[in-house]
Amino acid sequence: MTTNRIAILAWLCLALAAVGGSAPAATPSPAQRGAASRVSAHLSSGLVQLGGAVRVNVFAQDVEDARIVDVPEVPGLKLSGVSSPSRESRIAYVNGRRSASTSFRWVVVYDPVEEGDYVIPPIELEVDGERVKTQELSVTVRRDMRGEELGYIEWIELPERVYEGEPFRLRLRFGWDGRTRVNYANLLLPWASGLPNVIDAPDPSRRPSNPQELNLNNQGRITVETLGEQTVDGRTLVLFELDRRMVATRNGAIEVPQSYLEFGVVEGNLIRRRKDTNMVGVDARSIEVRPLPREGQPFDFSGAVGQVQVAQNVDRRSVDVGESIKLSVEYRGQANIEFFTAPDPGRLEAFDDFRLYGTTDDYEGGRRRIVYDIVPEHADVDVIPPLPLWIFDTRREEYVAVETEPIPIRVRALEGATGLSGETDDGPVLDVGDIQTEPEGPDGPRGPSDGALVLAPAILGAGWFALRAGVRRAGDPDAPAARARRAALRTLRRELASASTASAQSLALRRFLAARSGETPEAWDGRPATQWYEERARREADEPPRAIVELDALQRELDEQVWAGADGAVDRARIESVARELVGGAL
Amino acid sequence: MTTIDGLRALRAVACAILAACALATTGAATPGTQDAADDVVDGSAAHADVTPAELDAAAARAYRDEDLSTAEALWREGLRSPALSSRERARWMTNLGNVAARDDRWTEAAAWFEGSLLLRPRDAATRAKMDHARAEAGWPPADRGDLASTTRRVLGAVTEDEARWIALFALLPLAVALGGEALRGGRAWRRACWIALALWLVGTMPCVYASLRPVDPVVVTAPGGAAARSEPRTSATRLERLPAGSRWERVDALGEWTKLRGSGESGGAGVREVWVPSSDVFRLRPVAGAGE
Repeated sequence: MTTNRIAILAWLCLALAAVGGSAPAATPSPAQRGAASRVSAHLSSGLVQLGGAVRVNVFAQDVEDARIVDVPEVPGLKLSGVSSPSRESRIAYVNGRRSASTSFRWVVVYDPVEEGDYVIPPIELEVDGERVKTQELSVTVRRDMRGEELGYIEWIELPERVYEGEPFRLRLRFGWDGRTRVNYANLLLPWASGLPNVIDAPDPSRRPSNPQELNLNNQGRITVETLGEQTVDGRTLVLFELDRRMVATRNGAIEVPQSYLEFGVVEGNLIRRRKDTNMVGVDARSIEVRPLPREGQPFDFSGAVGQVQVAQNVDRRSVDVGESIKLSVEYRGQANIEFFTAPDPGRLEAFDDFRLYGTTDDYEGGRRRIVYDIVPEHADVDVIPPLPLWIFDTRREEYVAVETEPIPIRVRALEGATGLSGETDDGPVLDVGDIQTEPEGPDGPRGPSDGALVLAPAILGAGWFALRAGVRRAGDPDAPAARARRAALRTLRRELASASTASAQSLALRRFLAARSGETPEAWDGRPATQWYEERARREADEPPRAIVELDALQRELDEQVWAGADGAVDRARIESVARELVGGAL
Repeated sequence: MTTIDGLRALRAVACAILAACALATTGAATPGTQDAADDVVDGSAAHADVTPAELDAAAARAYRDEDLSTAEALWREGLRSPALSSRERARWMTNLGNVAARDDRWTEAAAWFEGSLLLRPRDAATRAKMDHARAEAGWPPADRGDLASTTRRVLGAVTEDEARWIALFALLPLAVALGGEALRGGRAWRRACWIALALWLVGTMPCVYASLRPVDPVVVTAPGGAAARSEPRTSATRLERLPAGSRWERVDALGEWTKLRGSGESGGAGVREVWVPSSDVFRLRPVAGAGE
């Protein structure tokens, strides 16, 4: 029973671990990623002897305001203090454009209490109103630092100074005595995740021919080049080399912290592990980054720094006017090839005889290849002029133009045309067109004044209100009786159209009279129109109108047909005529 | 009886509207009237013995002979004539744009075409010329194709006089609908009233848009934009650079300086007033001396 419970608990733990491990990490928003990319933390050394101090440099670059919100506590490392921020403002001119930025730096100091491998959790900052965190850091604390006599680590050709924008290499060669038993190697490189004011610029043309993966900062892996056994200072060593290409982005100093190699034997399994390792390190170094001189900087400076070689070719050298030539320019060399701004022939006076239709730009294998699609505009163009790229040559320490070679070409004129402006075979050519010579007519009437535009709707509104009020005083025009009165003649016509007897015509007429007089149809049954006129109109003294008299006669005729005749229908037109006359005034 | 009363009232309303129309045709002048008055003052003595048609013919001949400076001088002189109609003035401004374009002065050409379109906004040929000139000048297109640009173009497709007539005639459906509602009542007439009211509001939009446009618009023609300063002197604080091709309202002038008001194309920084060198801007209204 107990065994079963333990098994169930173990499965639950495994399931939770699996869920926790597979759950996606909270993905920061693009804005958070933008702010997070501007903060970083770097150890001054990845290996610290017990009694020393662990220094964490926290940077916030290209920001307006920043402060540290929270510094995590690490068991085994006692937080000693956080320095006040140092602020640095910088103004730079590249490609004729001015850029300004501000950076903050803090130093967080921990005092190790006991030896071990520690992970310093992310430090939280508030940058321009956003909360962001630095990356995790790994640091090793050792009581003894044995290993100098068995191991080897050294910087190779580390530059003492570079220019802003100039690429440089960090080559770290390391290894151990060939006679030493080693199954574990760990590089403690605080700068491996990046350095302030420096960007990684991997050289795609350099790949390790004999790669070897080693541990990095206790928690990651890194690929290095295996150099094999070599003799250094009389010692036979197994050597490796790490080669990183970087570009300094701003002037000042690049502080490369101490780097260590931990090597030895690690035995055991996941539960019990015995580690017997040695440490060998190399001191921190500083690289001075010098600003580019302002004096003599050409307006068309491309931002390229270093030594650049250029080669060029074209896909054809004999073309017709208007035909495209692909001018391919390839730049290579020890420079920030991938970052500079390519020259634009469209802005160069030398290329006035060409039209630029497009550019493709590729960086591959350490080479920058730019293809310009240019079209000669005239038949008298005989050469593609040199295309200059202004760079800062770090050897000559001056700005120089790296130019392509002029390329002779032959341009054949099109028949009946002298250049692109006369070319119409390939489609319409944009032009401002001819002048307008046909005289225009006189202007239309001048528009109404502001007063009229305000007065007209006001009058309309007032008129509508007055009219509505007047009409409503005599009753609602939308009432059923009013609608029936208006529709009476139309209804009569419709009913007469279907009436085939005098009795049906009489009923239709009574309905018409009822709708017009506001009474019921029965009220008109047997009532002479003249009597109605005298009663309702109260005009005994007057003679009844002709329409009333005709209506009276029509009623009598209909009654005769209904009661004394064969119920034959009377003339329909006569009934409609009498009805129209009644609507016209009498009824 | 009711119908007769209603018809009498309707007749009275119609008379009132006709009276308003009559007042409209003899009412206060639109902004162009003042310009015309200015033209009379400035141009009456210049070429009193030469008709505008003769000036136009002479300028066209000079243009054909590729004597651009003479053609420009003649058309500029002709613009001062008070006898020119707005449409004819617009045609001459288009031709002056052509002269500037042939002389490779694309910013000035674009400004002439823009000025011409203010007077003759539906002239497709001039609009095509303006688009071409703006492209050659490196300015952004006048119509970016977005909703705001399309709306501006639709509302600006009529002159101010036309917009005023549209606003007035848009009242007719409303008058009919209101009359029907007053005489007959009912849901259908009420609905017709609402529809006619909406039509009238739509009809007033070009007029409202025209009244909101600058009275004396200028466009920045300096290739690199115009340096805007707080006061009309070179030592004054430089506030910003007005982008080339942006349109502003001219509110004042002092010597070689022009005071502008506006918010630029984007309007992001709000309405402001700045001073720029007069040579960096181009007056779009066809007043005497425009663009000189």
